[in-house]
Amino acid sequence: MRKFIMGLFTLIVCIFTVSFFITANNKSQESVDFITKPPLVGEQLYLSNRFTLPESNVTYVYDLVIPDGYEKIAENSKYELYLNKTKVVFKVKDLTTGYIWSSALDQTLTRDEIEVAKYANTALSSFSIEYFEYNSELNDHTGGYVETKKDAFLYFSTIPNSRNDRTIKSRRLDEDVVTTYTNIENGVKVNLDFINIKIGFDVDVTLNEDGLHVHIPNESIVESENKLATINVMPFLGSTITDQVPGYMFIPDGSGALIRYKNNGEAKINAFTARFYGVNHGITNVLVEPYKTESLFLTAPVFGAIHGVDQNGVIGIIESGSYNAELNINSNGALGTKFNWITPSYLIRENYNLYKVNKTFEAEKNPEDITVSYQFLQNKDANYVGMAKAYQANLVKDNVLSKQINNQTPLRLEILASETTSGLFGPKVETMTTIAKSKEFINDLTSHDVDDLLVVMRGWNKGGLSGTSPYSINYEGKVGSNSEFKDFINDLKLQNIPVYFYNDYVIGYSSTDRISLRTDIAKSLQRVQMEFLTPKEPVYDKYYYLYPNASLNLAKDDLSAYDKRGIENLAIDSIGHTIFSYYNKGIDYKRVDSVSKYKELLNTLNRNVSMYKPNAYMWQYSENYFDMPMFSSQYTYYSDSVPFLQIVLKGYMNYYAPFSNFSATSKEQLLLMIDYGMLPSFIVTDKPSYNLKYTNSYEFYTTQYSDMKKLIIDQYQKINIHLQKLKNETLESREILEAGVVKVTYSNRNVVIINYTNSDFDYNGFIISPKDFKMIGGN
Amino acid sequence: MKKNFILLFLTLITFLITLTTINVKAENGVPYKTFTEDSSHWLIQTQDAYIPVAVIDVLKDEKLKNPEDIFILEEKIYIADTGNKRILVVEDNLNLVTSLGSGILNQPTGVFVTKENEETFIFVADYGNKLVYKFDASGNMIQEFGRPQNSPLFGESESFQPNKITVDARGNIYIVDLANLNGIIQLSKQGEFLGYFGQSLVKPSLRTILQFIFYSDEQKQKVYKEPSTNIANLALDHEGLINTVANDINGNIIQRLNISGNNLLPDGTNTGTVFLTRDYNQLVNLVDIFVGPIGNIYVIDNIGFISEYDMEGNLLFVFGGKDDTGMVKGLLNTPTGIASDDSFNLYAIDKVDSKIHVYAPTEFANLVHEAINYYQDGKYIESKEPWEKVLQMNSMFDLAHIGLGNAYYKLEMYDDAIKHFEIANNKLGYSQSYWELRNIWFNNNLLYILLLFLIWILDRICIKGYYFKLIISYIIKPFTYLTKFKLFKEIKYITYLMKNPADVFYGIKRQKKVSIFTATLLYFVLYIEHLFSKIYTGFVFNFTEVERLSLLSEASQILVPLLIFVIANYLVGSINEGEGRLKDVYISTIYSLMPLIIFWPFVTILSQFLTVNETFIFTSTTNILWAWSFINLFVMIKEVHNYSVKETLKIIIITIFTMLMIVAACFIFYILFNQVIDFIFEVLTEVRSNA
Repeated sequence: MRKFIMGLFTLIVCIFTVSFFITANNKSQESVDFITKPPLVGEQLYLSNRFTLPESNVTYVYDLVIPDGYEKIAENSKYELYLNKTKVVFKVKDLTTGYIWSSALDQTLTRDEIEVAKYANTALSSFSIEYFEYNSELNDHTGGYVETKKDAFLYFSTIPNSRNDRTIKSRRLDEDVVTTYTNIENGVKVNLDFINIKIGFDVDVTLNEDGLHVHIPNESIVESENKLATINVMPFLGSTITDQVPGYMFIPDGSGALIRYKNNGEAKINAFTARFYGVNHGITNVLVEPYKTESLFLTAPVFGAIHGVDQNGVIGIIESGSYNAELNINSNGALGTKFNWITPSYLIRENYNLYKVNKTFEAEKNPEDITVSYQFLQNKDANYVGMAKAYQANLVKDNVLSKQINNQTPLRLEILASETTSGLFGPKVETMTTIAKSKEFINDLTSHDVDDLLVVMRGWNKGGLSGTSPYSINYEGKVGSNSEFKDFINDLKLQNIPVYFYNDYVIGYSSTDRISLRTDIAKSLQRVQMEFLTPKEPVYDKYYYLYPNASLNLAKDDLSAYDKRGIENLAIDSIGHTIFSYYNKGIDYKRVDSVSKYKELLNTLNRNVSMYKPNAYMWQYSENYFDMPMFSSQYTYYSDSVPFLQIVLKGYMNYYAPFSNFSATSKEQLLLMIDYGMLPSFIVTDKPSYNLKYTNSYEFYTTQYSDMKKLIIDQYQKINIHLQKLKNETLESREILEAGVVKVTYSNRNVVIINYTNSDFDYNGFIISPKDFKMIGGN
Repeated sequence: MKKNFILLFLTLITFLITLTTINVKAENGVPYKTFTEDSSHWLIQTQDAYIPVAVIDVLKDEKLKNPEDIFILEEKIYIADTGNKRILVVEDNLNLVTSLGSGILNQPTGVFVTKENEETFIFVADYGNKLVYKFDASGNMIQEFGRPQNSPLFGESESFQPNKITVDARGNIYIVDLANLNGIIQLSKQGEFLGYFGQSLVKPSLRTILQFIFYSDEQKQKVYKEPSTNIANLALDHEGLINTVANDINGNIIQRLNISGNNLLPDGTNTGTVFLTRDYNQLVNLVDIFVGPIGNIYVIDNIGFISEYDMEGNLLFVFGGKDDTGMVKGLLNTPTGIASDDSFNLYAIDKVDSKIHVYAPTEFANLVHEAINYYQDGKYIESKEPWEKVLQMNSMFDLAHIGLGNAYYKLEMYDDAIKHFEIANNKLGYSQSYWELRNIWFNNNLLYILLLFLIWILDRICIKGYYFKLIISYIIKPFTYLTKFKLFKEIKYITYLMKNPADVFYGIKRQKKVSIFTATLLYFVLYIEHLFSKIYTGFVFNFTEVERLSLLSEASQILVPLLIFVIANYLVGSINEGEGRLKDVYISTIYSLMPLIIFWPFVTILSQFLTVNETFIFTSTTNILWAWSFINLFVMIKEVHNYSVKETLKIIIITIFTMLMIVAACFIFYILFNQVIDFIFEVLTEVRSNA
């Protein structure tokens, strides 16, 4: 034995005396310049639909008159409302500009304009429906209903077969639709009765100072064995033909997007439809590939069209019915028409597969009224800024938004305190930042004059960030003791730094003991539990949606714990942007039910709540807007991205960009934040981020404070100095001076010039360097 | 039956799941996520490297129709506009678009441009005409190359339908013909056939091996008649070497071929999109390859993923993906080509959508490129600054850790170097830095070591090792107290194995020297030692990811096989006149593994102090321990069952077979059980849906 050890020892000693040197072989390479140059074809980035394009100076010349057959039914100081009772077409004359808006087309259409009878009917009908047709001859397997939805219009069109005859023959379906008009204040009530299929409803069309108001009371809907699926309201209001009218359509996708009218010619264009507030997970199964980013959705119930920039425009604001509405966006070329039209469809019933197999549709109709306000914009308001201001005024009127006074312009600093990793004996807590370290970071930042902070604590709860949601209101001992947390909260209070605690009442993991897998996890209308898989199965491989009622009960349980620990501010994820139908104990619940439960939850909590990506209906409940989208989805049909959401909220709510940690183009991001008035956000940890590699937070690949510190101070100084002067101010106009140069004017007449280009820009003698910005003038 | 069983097994491995993501934590206004790879080929999300800028379908007034290839040279873009039977040349940001080859070309699927004496020549592979054309810059056709004539080497029946083409500096023409499986067709400047080039196989997968073993000859013929390895495309790099992408049913491979057709890139340079697509049961085929300005390699596949590799074949970025709506900028439907310009802008063409997607590099990508460029030149110290910036943006970027490790190594800051190598899990770099550190330690402590050694020698020679024995006796002393316990005695009994194994097993069998409890304890000790070695084996030899260790699967690696062995051996023995009882086999088996139980922890500890250069010490000692244990097992079977040597050998073979059968039986039971569960579940669902 001893000999063996000795032999081994001498062997090792021998080997230690041998050394190896490895020399790298040098290869010579031509020098390469590592600065982005514009591509050989295509535009610079700032000319793509990531940004807003300059306006062309084309003026739209129009000469419009109200044709024969129309009678004036209402008027006020700004508009006149006309109605053709035989055609069921409304026209609004804008007295300021003389422009005339029409609820449907009332001219004869040709095959050059529309190739499919269905869309000719859509264009001519102010109202149309889709329904599920009952057929008693069908067997029980399909429930007696025809699988595909059927359409019913006010018009019936035939497309001519002959080559020379281009005119589409249309007639009113007088025999199939009975219309009854009743005069009401400022307008008319129309009762539409599709007598063949025995479906009918009332429409109140009224005129007010803002524009046209359309209201379909839910209780007026009459059905038979045929069931109503969709109502289309004035789909062609604001439509244009190819590029005959300069202007654009507006879509509230992400931050906001435009489709400028251009002649698409022979290019292949698809129509597309987007659901307001995202798909309904209670009905649709979504396969999200792990390599794609989550698609943005329409977070505000608005849409619009501009006919001549700074001339005329319309914005449709869905005041009721948006939970079950989808927006149809059609550029010319799509669906075989030459028209550009954007319109919502209001879903009364959705079809789905019961148990993922049997085709069926919702038994009960959606209970919401359909209320749309079409506000017309004139002259300098007839653009996307005007639309945003109109929507803003609407929200202020409804007390959703209130003007900020004495507002701060803080930086959002999220601290990831602890996360769960899998250990040999099951999940264990990995401390990323202790309370002491958090305090240290905040003090360090304040000593560098980054004193206007908003702190969000993540993973403060027992068990760490992932797998424990909805969180128990107990502090994770490894992060800090109860008294340390208490001191932390009190210290920050003295420093006037609000600290928010992160929580999520919508998402539940099976690993938490706060929920029961049997009773608390929501089932979709398909009767299947709503579970979602995480792509890399790091620690927890799936999570669930909770019943809104279960969420509410959890929140009620937490109240005393929040009080006890002095937690005043909460950052609540998911609740602001999750909305779904669900099934519970024999009852189908609608999207509106989940929203009302969530609103009740927020009322119950009764403390300051900030939400992540809140949809418009939650703005009222959210103190701050976290993770505001900075772009639109940039679909190939979009021509521009615009800061619509930002303009709506500027001066009314603080809104924060997504974490700057993960931005690949920090210069561009900084300029966008200045341009859009967004506040910066960072997430930091004490320990290096590679500790998160095998956790569910693996997407936080760079968080260490020492790495981020410089960037935080840098961004804060640039943005804060600038935004300090603009706090409480609203954004009044936004102009693209030339490609890549933006001029933003605020309510205190401060002007900011942002130069996205790679060359100097001269603005009235002020030189703005490339990729830089300057604030000029003001009070 | 057996074949079905294997197929069932294969289908079980590739089950399908649906996925969705939690909230996106970053937003760059890009439809895809960008990933890079760590040392264990685990994809790590990273900052976006490329941002989609534009989607173009009309170039000036020329509308694309089903384009199949793209090439860029000196700021000019050449597109094989296959559907329109022409080559489009795009210059000066669309201000000048010319076409060439109209009227001559029939189905141009490949285009390549080369410079000869300052003159530009355009080579076109025409699939329809079965010809390769050479055009000059003004579009005059000056030469055409057809099927090699009078060349017995080429083969009578081989096809000649050029798909893709490349020309090297000597004027040799390399043609990819997807139907010709002999390799790349190499023609001389004059069009003479020089030979097939670079036919090399993708490594066989488990599946093909299984197929080979279990398929009947008929089935084999069916499988292997289909194309084995298919070189899909090729590109010329800055050193004049041919880079290719190839696919077969086992996967994809990227190769850099030297003049004799051997691959210079490491094996396994094909992992990029495996993770991203594994859930879709989709076959990934690499479609095109392009060599970028710093020798970086761009590869695009049929799904739409674009991967960028550095010159040495390390994956830098993979991004993109599929979109069949045609409305998402940056996601592709049917990609056919990729190219980059001198400032890393990328151009990907989509055949069915007839579009070019243009991507611009981000600040982050530029930083990585700058660092890589220094690094490739061996300027490690210059690369330090950009690598540090890269790490500041993404601290999980392993290549940056390796780069920094190398920079620190060059600067002789081995402590820092070793830290970065460890994070990046780079065994070689770690080992080299550790070697240096260990060397420094030895230099500092050499005197003490020599002194100790001297004392030991003196002690041994002069007083016959008195002091050494004294020290040893002090160490042993506390253990003498333990000898009172039966358990300790039983455990100590294991050491007799070194002297006479046969006696030990006799003692276990006849004299009942060891209780089942002690044996069970030793099984547990072995399991703990196994875990210990998994976790604490020196970094250089340790391939375990501790974070992903599971107690159960580790037990199944060591304890389960042992227990199956015990059962199988007992059963086999009992029907073959073996004398051993289950208890004897159980106890003796663990006692046979004495060498592992005693020495394994020491080897594990020793491995902490070894570098790559001393690998053989680690592997040979481990092997010796295992070999010793197996010899003991052999003796054990012989003694316990009282067999002759010949019988023992026979029994061992039958035991192994029995073990396999036990595993198979369990597996089949598991599958059947699952089927029953599924069946019940389906019935219940059906009942509920009709209730």
